[in-house]
Amino acid sequence: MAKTVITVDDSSAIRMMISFTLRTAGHEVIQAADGLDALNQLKTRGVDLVITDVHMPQMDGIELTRRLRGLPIHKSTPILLLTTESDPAMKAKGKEAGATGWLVKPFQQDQLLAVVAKVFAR
Amino acid sequence: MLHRILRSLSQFIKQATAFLTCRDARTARWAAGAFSEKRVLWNRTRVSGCACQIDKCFLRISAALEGLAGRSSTLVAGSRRLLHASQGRDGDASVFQAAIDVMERPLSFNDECVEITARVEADLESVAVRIGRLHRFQAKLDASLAPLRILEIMFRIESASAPPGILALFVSLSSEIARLMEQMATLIAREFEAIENTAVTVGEVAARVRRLHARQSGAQRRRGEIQSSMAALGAQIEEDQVRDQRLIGATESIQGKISGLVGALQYQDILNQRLQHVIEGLAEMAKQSRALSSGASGDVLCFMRDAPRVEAAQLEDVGDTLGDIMERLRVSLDGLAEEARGVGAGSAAAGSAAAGSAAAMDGRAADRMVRVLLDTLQENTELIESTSTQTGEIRAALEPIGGLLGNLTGSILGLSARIRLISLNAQIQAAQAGEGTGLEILACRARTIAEEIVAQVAELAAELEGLKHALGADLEQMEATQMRSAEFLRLLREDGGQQDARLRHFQDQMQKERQSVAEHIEQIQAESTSLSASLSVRSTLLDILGATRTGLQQFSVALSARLTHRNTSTRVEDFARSYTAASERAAHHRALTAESAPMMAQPAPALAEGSIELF
Repeated sequence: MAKTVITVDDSSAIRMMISFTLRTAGHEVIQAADGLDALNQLKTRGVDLVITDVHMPQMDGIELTRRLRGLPIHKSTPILLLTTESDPAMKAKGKEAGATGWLVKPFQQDQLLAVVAKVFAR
Repeated sequence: MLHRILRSLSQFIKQATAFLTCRDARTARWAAGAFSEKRVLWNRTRVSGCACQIDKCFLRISAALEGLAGRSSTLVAGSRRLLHASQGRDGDASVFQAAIDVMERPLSFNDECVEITARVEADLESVAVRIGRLHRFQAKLDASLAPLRILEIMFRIESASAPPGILALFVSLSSEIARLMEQMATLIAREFEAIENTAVTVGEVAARVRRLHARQSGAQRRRGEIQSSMAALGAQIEEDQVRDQRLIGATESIQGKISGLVGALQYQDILNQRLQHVIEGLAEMAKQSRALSSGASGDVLCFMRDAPRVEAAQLEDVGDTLGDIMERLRVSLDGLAEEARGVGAGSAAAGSAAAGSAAAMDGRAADRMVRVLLDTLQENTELIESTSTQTGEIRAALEPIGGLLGNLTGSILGLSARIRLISLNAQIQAAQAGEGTGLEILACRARTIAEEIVAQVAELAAELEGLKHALGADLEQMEATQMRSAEFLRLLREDGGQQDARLRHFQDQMQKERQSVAEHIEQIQAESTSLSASLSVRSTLLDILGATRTGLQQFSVALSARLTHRNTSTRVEDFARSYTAASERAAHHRALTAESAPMMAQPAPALAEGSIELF
């Protein structure tokens, strides 16, 4: 069944890659250039999954996660953090903010689809 | 005085030496610092330029890929629509087959009609043969009645010289014979007139049946044409489907290749981060060099010795990443170009095949098939209606013949009995008149004739009876044929409208599908051309990336070479050593540099590629 996913990244290539991959799997994908843009879009609408980069201008992924968890409609929305870092301290910060999972770049498209399917199956 | 002069001179020399020493040391420090700062700034500018160029390249690649992805999606959608259209054509063929199946019944009716008309034709032939036999029977009957006429004449002759008592008898006997013969002649004439009329009707019907037969054979022949066209169409559709499957495979493969390209672009982010590290490292180095320029020259030496190594390592790392991206892009683009060529060739083949298919199905061929079906349907209805009517007419014409033949047989048998009676009567009268009279002779003759006639009539009656039975069987068969025709006609009328509607629907559907297929193929060809054009940007992009990578490599090599440049390093080392004595400070600054080196040479973040963790 098709789900709605928002991909938040300041890199257009990454956004495009994620959109391309998820659309191929039949999902609807919306895009945001940074945390603030995503937060503005998600204030009024619900999505089935948020995939966000950690390091972004204006608002980073950790802060976005924290803010989204403060919104009633996104209390239980799965949020995947996407970064080139695998620093345990950063991971702990993400977990504390309310993220659902951690995905390290670069990744294969089937890995992304697998983790998304896993999240949806939860 | 001299002593004062010498002391003043010595002091001046000391001061001059001190001044020169100080100046050289300042100059050396200034020179080392300025050199270091300038080099670092130059490095920063160069790396920033590379980063900017790489970024622009990636932006252009992203834009090109977005276009390609869009086009490939359109291509895939187009080829799916083509496949769907091909399946639709298969569906059309199914509709067509269904129409043929529906037509099977009227066509089988047609077959049956052919059989029926053949049987009717045979029946009519049989009736004609029997009518011929009836004519022969008439001649035979005439021949059989000839002695009776002679007998009548003889009775008349004898009556002229007969005694008065017997005269009346002769007259009555001859009159009775004459009357009987007249009756017989009337009867035979009437009945044979009816038979003659029937023969004419049968002849006419037979001619019409033969014409019907010819038309039915035409319908059968057209059915053969339809079936052979169907077989050709089926083969064409199978070929189309195989080709369309190949086409969709090629377009899906393009999508896969584009996915690969998009995957390659993931490195853009990492590359940018690494370049950022290089730029930050260089900034830190500039800061350090400024700090060092005010310190000891030995630190400058250490700094200058380590800095290029750090830069070279980082740039080599960036170059490797860029090379990886380029390789992936190159492989993906090569694959994409190949697949696009495949799609181009496939779509061209699809175009020509579809044109062939359209020619096979389109226009005259398909219309002719449908027209043949509709005509056959109409013709069969007419044929069966006509056959039914003709059969009824034949039956109506043949039915009285049976009755007439029955009457004729009864009349002949009655005549025979009466002749025998006359003979017997004549014999009685002859016995009364006395032996040897003419009457006795005539009576004997009459008896002989009566017996002959009876024998012949019995034979004729048997033959007539056989004819009657044969005609009865023919009539029954024709009645059954007529009933079957009527049943077929009813079924045809029931199915006719439905079949007609289905065939016309099929015709419309085929027309639409043909248009749709033509549009899809045009679209695919246009997309394929567009894709090929888009692929031409790949060489430019790769050239730019290649140039960037070469620039980075050259830069990295130049930095490494600086490490091994003996003249320069020796000169700087000597220069520094000659003006620096503070080894402690140098050691202190070396320690400082060692502390800052990890920061400057900060490697790219450890990548656990694709690692996933769900909390």
